[in-house]
Amino acid sequence: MLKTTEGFNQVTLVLMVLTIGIKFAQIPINPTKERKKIPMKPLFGKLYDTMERTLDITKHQHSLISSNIANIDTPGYTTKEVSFKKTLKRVLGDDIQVQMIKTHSTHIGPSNNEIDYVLSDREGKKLDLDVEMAKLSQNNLRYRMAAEMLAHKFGGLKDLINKAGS
Amino acid sequence: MDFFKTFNISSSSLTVNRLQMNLISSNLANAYTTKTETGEPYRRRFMTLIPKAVEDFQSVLDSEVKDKDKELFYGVNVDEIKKDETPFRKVFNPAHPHADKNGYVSMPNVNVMIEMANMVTAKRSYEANVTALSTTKAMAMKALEIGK
Repeated sequence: MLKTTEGFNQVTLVLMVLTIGIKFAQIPINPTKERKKIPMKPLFGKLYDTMERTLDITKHQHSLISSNIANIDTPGYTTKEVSFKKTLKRVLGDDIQVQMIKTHSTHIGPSNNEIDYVLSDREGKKLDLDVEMAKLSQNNLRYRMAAEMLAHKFGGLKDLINKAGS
Repeated sequence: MDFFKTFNISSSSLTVNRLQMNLISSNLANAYTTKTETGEPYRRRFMTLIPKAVEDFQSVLDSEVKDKDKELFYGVNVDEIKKDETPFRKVFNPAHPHADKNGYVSMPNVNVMIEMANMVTAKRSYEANVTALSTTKAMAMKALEIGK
């Protein structure tokens, strides 16, 4: 008799705890939905992403401009250039990218470093050395700006970490 | 590291410009050479250029693995060095040992003015590529400063 009551009590206790647990702790039924609600500001925000992409695109652009300058005397060679603004807009605005689904724990996700470059209006035009040199300089400044900004941001974080420790 | 590809692009053009300077110097040096090994006067040399796709490890790997077109970065390369087939200049000089029976000497088809103009172009092109190269270097150095 005593044994069964104890058994009954244990089962009720477990059930009660479970019910209360589900009701009050609000264990998420769909964990993917819940993930978005975490109210934490990411350490590396949008600016890092923007600057990183800026570095990527300007580096690509620099290679193209160098190609143009190298081929300034080559007959039949036309300008190659990407549009910085449009490319950056596409890269950053693409939240609805095609996602791959992991169906196995050993799957590796797609690399996110691929940039879909948008061609500039000047693509395919006749080469002009002055324009290319101006573009080279402009592109270089843009790169330096992004690099400087990133360095500054990281420097700020580093300062914060050091000051907090002391 | 993508910058190395850019270095290769600029340096390919520097090589070509240097070769161009060699050809121009050779043409200028032989502007009055009336007899060469073949018996005829010196013929002006010039070169034709073609773009050359710059490959690095990444682009080759991408094209093999991802079935994707190679990145279109082009350096420059010499297609061929040709001899100028325009006729020689005839100068009346009967006292010259290479004069023909009518007293005319065939002079090389080198136009000094054209060569000088080409030289300036080659020099400017060289300078432009040096600027591009040093810019690449500055960018790479700047990138190294990010983590400091």
